[in-house]
Amino acid sequence: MNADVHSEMNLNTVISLPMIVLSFFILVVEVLGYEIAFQRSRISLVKAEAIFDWVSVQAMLLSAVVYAGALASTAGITLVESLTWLRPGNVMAPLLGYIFGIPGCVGVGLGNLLADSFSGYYGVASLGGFVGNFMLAYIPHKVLSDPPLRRTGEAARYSLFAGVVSPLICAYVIVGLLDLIWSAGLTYPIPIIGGVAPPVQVQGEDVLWGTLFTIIATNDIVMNLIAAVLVVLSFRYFSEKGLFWKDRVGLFESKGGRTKFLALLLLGVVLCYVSYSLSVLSGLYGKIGRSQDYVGNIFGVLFFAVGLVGVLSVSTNSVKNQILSILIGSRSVDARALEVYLSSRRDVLKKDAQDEITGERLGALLFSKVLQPSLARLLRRIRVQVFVDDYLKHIMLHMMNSKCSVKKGINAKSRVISVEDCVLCKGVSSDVPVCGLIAGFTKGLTSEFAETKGEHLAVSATETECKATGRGVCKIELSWQ
Amino acid sequence: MDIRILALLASSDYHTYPPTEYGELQSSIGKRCSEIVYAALADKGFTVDFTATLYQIASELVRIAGSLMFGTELQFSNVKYQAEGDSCSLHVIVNACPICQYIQSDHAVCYILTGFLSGLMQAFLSRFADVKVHSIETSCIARGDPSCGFETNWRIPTGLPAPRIQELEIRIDEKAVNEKVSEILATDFYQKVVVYARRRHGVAT
Repeated sequence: MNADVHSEMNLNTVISLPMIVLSFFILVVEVLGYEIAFQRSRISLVKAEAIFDWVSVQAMLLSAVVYAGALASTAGITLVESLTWLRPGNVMAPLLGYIFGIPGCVGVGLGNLLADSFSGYYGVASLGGFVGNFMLAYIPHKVLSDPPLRRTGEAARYSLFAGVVSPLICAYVIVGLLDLIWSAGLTYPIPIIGGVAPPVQVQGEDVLWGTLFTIIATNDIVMNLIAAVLVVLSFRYFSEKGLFWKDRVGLFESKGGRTKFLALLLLGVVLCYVSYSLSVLSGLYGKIGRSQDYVGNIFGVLFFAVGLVGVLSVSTNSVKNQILSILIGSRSVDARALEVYLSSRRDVLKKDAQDEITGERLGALLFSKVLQPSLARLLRRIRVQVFVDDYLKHIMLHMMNSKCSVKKGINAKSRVISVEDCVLCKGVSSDVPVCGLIAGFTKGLTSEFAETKGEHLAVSATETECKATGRGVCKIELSWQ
Repeated sequence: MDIRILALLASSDYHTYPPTEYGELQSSIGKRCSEIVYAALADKGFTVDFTATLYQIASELVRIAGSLMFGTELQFSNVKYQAEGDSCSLHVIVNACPICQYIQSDHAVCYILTGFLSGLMQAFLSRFADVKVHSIETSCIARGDPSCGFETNWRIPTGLPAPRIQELEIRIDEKAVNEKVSEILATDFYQKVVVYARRRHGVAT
């Protein structure tokens, strides 16, 4: 009986070895900016598209926090004792990997390490947890196309590779490495500063391969399949917010980005050790994320919430900063040069000159000549409503050199844009609104945006209030049909 | 705020008006812009203190005022003088022009720069003599030329001495000019410019 068990265990260890080596190799290669390419029957290493911009660095850290929080707040729900459980937190891995790309995959690995640091699994074998969870996110990241899961073939491919292969690799890497490390006698805990580290609970090989392996594999199979629904449902939000990694390729300067990325990854690992030490010293170690006591897991819930708030914050700011980086050149002159131009222009324009038309042309030109060439990939995903709500105000902000706000109008397809300190009517007194150029600008920008999406919209923009007439702000009513 | 918005506005006008009308409009805007910028530069609160000949000052003035109005996107590759008898001319070559970057045309379109240069030289030379300045664009990137070229001409009024040849051999110190532009931008220069711009069309500041 014993001999049979041992031969089975040895076979599992033998199977896990190439998976461990391959997973480590992929992690190192991808983090260094290369990827494995399959061309016909040849496998080669090619330089990956540069994605290590500042958004990626934030994405990695936020993925780690979100994933750690998800794991800690949702301890395994036991279905069959010693055979399987469900840990809903794992559902985040494919999503983070797909949306954020390699930074998201690395963030998932780091998040698992962070969860280990206070849930009682922190040890030498946590390395396997890092790499295994990285693979859990990496394979869906490679398998899914853009947009995700629109074809039956892709769904079948996802079910096979992300639903079965990826969880098996994850389980083999985690359990296999644990087996190898414990077999080598590395069963001592990682020491902490100013206290005594709790002992590592070493399990027998039958528990490792009989129970742990099955639990990890079955849970991840279920969670990765559920994750497909999450990916499809959330893709629109993330892509419209400019967070989908493929849309940012080449948009930002990423020189030196990989060095920062690696430095912050190292910092993240150090912080996990700090978290481990603090949770041991405070007596929390092993008490969070290990039971279905969700009140006890409140710490994990907090982590998850903080991470989500961070993701939402980045999703808002990244859009703003993308517009900023395009509109504001690093070597440009102040907006007041525009004011000089406009002041001079007023003197020579005919009185019946329709500034709405000029503004409309200006908006259309700005979109087609400046925004579209740089943000084409990102903008193709965005609906007119999102463009007006999220983008227009930032464009107006820098166009007008002052704060603008966009509020809902009388229906879903209308908005009221309030412009404070308008460059056009600053210091001007008039009986009628004079900022037709700005109204035309919003109209031109919106209709040109819709044109590029193949939508022929009837856009109208009217200035209803103007500072020149004594009002507090300039208000433009924008609507589209 | 990017200078490209100004360029887009100029090209928006290009698409709105017939060519002749556009030329007159832009040239006139350029002249008024230069007057405003020059008025702010020459304001007694701010002094251009160069130890140089009148022509060196004029040449540097073109670079400084151009940079202030059109930013570093406007790159001069050459500014030089020629004089023959009482005829003087200033040749300006711009190898990166923000004004025509969004326009394709079969003729020269940088009227705002033409107007800006003639207005600037007019305003500057008027301090010393009553001269008539005229500017034309000789080459334009918008029509496929490698650079935009401008020629600004004026005649020395009768009674004033023509400039000596050695005064015309000007070597402009790029570093010194750039430092001067940075120094001006570090002051409240634009506040003054905007005050002048508003006063220009009778608006209370």
